[in-house]
Amino acid sequence: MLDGRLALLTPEGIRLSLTPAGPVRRAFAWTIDFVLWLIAVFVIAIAIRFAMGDSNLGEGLFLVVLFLSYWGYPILCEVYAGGKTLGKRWMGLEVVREDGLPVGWRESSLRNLLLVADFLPMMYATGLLCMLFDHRFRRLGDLVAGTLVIYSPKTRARKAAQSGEAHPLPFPLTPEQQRALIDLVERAEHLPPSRCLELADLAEPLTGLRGEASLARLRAYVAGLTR
Amino acid sequence: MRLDRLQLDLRPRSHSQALDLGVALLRQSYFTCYATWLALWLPLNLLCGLLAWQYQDWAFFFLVIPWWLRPLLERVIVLVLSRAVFGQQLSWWQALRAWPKELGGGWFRVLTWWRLFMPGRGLYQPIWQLEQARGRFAADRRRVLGRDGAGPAAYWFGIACVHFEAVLQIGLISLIGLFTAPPDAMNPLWMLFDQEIAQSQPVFLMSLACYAIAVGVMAPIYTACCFTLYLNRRAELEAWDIEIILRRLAQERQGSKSIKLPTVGHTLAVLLAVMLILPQAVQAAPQCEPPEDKKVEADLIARQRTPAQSAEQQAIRTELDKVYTHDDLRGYRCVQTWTAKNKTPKEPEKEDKDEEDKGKRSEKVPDWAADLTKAILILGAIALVAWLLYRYRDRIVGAFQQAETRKLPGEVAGMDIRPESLPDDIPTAVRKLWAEGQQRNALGLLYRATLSRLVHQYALALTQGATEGDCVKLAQQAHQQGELPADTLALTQDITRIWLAAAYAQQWPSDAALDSSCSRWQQTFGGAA
Repeated sequence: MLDGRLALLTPEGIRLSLTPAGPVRRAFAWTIDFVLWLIAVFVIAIAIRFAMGDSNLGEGLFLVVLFLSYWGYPILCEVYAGGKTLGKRWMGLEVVREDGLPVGWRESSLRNLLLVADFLPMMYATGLLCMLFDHRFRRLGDLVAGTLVIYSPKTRARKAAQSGEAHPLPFPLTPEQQRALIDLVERAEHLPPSRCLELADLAEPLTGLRGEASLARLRAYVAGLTR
Repeated sequence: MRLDRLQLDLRPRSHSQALDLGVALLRQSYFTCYATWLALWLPLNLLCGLLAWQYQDWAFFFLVIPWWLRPLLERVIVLVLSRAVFGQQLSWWQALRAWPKELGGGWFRVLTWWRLFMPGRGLYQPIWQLEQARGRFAADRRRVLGRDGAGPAAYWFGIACVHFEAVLQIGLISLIGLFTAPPDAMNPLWMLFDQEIAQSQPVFLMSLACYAIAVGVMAPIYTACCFTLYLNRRAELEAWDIEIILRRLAQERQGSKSIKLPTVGHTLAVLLAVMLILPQAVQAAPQCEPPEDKKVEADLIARQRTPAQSAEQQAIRTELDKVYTHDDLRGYRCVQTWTAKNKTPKEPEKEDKDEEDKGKRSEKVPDWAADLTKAILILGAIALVAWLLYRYRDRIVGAFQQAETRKLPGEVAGMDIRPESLPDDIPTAVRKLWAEGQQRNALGLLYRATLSRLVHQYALALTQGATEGDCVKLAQQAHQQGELPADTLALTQDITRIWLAAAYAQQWPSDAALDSSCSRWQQTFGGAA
């Protein structure tokens, strides 16, 4: 089954799933970062000009700031802000190591310095092609540093327990099947009513009923499961 | 539609994750997708390129045609993927044959105002093509599918893909530009900035070819990603994932245990073949002009020669000249070397300019401030390097030391064997513990002390992970090599046996046995540390 997720198993036997993020989302994050950087540099340039006028010192300082901000901003953000630059935070992305651990100085510096390689021959064409061909959407910098850009894991807010009378299940269900029942009841309000009844009919082997009665019985099962 | 054959895990997920899934789907049937798509796209571009070349007044019109017809060509990719997603693989020829039947529905909209203003068209194409919806019903379907942010997601995805196509196109042009640039050009896109060259026919056609390649790569990705967004949206709206589980449950209850969902056997790896066309090595020696003195010499010889007296002499002379032109006899060598393209940098001019600049600068901040800051920055850089060296001094020093001395283990089999952790007089301490009834501690101390002496007196190479058996084995090896006396080995074996019996089987030695072991220990290793 194609899922787009990457499963990692920790030594404790815990399964972690990471979802690598594709080039489009990352391009938007890059654009946001770049625009923010441009604005910041513009403001700093004006500030320096205002404070020091047209002098050698001002020019030199501006060049130093330009260099440090361009290379330092992503590295500092990734090391100290949980792998997220501002653009990535906005787009819900973060950088992690291939084993799911947070990135350190080594990985972050490597992947950001290799932006130069990804830029070649023009406008990140190599990086884009590399991302499209790699099955985890890694650009050259990611391949070298052993990092991934993933969607920040979000915990889905479970809805409150189903109210109403609970009914025991007629036979044991696997956790996956139980989850599907809960999902069905939670999503029922967004589904067309006819489709809901169709699904309730499909559940006949479980409920022994059809139509509305089957749906009501499913609700009762879920009330028992989520209590 | 057999949902149980679905090759995608369609749980509710964010739109951008659904879009990313398209790349994985495309990877599974990349060959058919790209073959069918390119079989339509490349000939169309070739035809239009030729027409544009032929009828230059209409060139722009012919160049717009491939761009304009692209949505209809994309339908062939949707066709292939819509079968592949249910596990049915079409061949590229079958897909091409079936393509004309897929063109009905929505073509007017897609080719007119949507072509310009609707980059998210890929989300809605399957409505006409797969659901066969038309007219008002199709409009309703579009509205429902585009709700909850799916429409904007597809729209922004389309905009990003247009930019990606531009990136690939410009990337290709500048790759060519890098290799064909005249020596002075700094810009890889020099061809497009030179008014005259940019409008010349070959450059025009080259950029068209780059566009065809860029779209050739991106269009299947765009279509596949929009298609998975469409699928995920429908799965979310119609709860496909729940239906699949309920159906499976029903089958299980009917007793038919042989449910086999088709699994993806293997993900086809996409190979990026990088064709490196190496220039043919030049076999012949490089040719060059003879140096000045050789030219003069040859001239002299030619002038001194009297006219040939016979044809035979003439033939011999030509023969001789030919022999003397050989590499070994001509007196100079031709060598190919690299030299800088611009040997004369325009330094003086620049300095003048700097001087002028300096004159113009305001005196708000004096120049010595700049020099001072420069010095501070340089000192800062030196301090940073020094600090890094200091910070990692252990590792740097350790790297040199490790080779010199092997570190003695402080712990073997979980027991501390450093001499300083042991009492001075071992046998007395052991006897005292034994008399107090702490049998286990007494034997443990005895064994620990034995290992410690083996390591520190006899330099036995025990490691931290060694077991009791390993220690005895190492002692035996040392004895065979003459590094360990026989009685020490015997004592080690005895004490190990006593310790093992006590530690793992709770079989304690008699008081007399312990006493004799202690005495032997005293004789062998000596009392004090």
